[in-house]
Amino acid sequence: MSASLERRYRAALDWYPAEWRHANADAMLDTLLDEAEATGRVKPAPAQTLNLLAFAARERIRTAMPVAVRDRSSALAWGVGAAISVVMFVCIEWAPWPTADPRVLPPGVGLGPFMSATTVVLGLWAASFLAALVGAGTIARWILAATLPASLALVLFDTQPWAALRAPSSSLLFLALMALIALQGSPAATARGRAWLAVCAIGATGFVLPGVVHAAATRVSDDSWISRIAWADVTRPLYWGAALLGVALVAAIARRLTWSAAALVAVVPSLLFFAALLVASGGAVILAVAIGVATAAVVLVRRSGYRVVVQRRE
Amino acid sequence: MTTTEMREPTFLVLAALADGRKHGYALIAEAAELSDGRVQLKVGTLYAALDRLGEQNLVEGAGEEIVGGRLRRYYRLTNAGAARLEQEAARLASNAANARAKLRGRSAGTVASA
Repeated sequence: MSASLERRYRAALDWYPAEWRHANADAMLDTLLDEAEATGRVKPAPAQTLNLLAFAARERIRTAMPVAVRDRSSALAWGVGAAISVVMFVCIEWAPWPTADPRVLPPGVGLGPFMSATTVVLGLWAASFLAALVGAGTIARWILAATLPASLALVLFDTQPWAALRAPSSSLLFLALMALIALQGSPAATARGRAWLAVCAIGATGFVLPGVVHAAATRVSDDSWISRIAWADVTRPLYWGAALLGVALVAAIARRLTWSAAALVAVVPSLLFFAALLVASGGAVILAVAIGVATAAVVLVRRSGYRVVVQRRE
Repeated sequence: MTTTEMREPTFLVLAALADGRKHGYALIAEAAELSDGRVQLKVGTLYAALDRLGEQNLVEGAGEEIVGGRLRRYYRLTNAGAARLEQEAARLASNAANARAKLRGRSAGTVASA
């Protein structure tokens, strides 16, 4: 066993939060080195390192966020993502009605009757939601995780006929970020969590439908709302960001603080898009200063030994 | 209260502890042997499972020792863990028996129709 192997495994274990490291790192290192000795390994296996990275990230999320907030934010993101996916599938990918839209499929392009293989991503989203709804949480998470490489494949191979008319990268990225938020909780594990999933999806569908009808009705290139609508109209991150901020505000007023915190977590993907928009419109300096000040404040508070605690008033 | 289905790695960790206390790598080796080499637990997965099983009071620490300058920690099954393992083993055995009964019915039907 080499000192370098031990050092590299220790470096990988450093990804875990301090509390976990204190409790488990030495025992884990012993197991890692036992495994290396038994298999004659002289450097860490990539799969083992990736596994440590994934569980360290999970542990950091668990440490930073209470289970109640994680499960609720997961239900919100899963419900919103599923609603977006179903609407996208019906109104854009499939659009089984006669369409007057000039973006009607050219010959040889698309995936069967669908516009592109974005259908696969949307189908996986819908399937994962249904699996979560019936309590098959593990299967649901695997299916949802599969949307991430599927989206990446669409972006990488967009010269192929099946991906030529794919959803824009921004829509796929927004769904991917919502999938990551959904994956960090387990709402499917309890009957109450599954009820949250249903309510969130119904609420999100109700919220998106007026927007879809409005978007379709204001198309200038065609003569009716039954044409394929534009991708950006359904997945506009700022639209969903405003909705989730609204949920956070209403929940805070109603003193449902866990839901309020969960909605703020689910709004993070929209905030990232907002930041990108700010950068693109010349606000990079403002954003950099804001991030710099926030980082400096966090570092200052941590280094000074203080901890900021949110506590209910007596 | 209904008990949710147990995932295979969890089942194998509990089964590996059924005959006495074991340390981390012994658990990985035993889980591989029990599954005929199909399940190779990664260390991150194993310790996350042990942490969760500890929270559920199904597994507990069973001492530590220093071996070759390294900390070796042992785990053992609690009584609740043994009961849960027994319950899951019974559920799997029942499923397997039902499947075999169906298969016997199928072969009898095939013979009759031939």
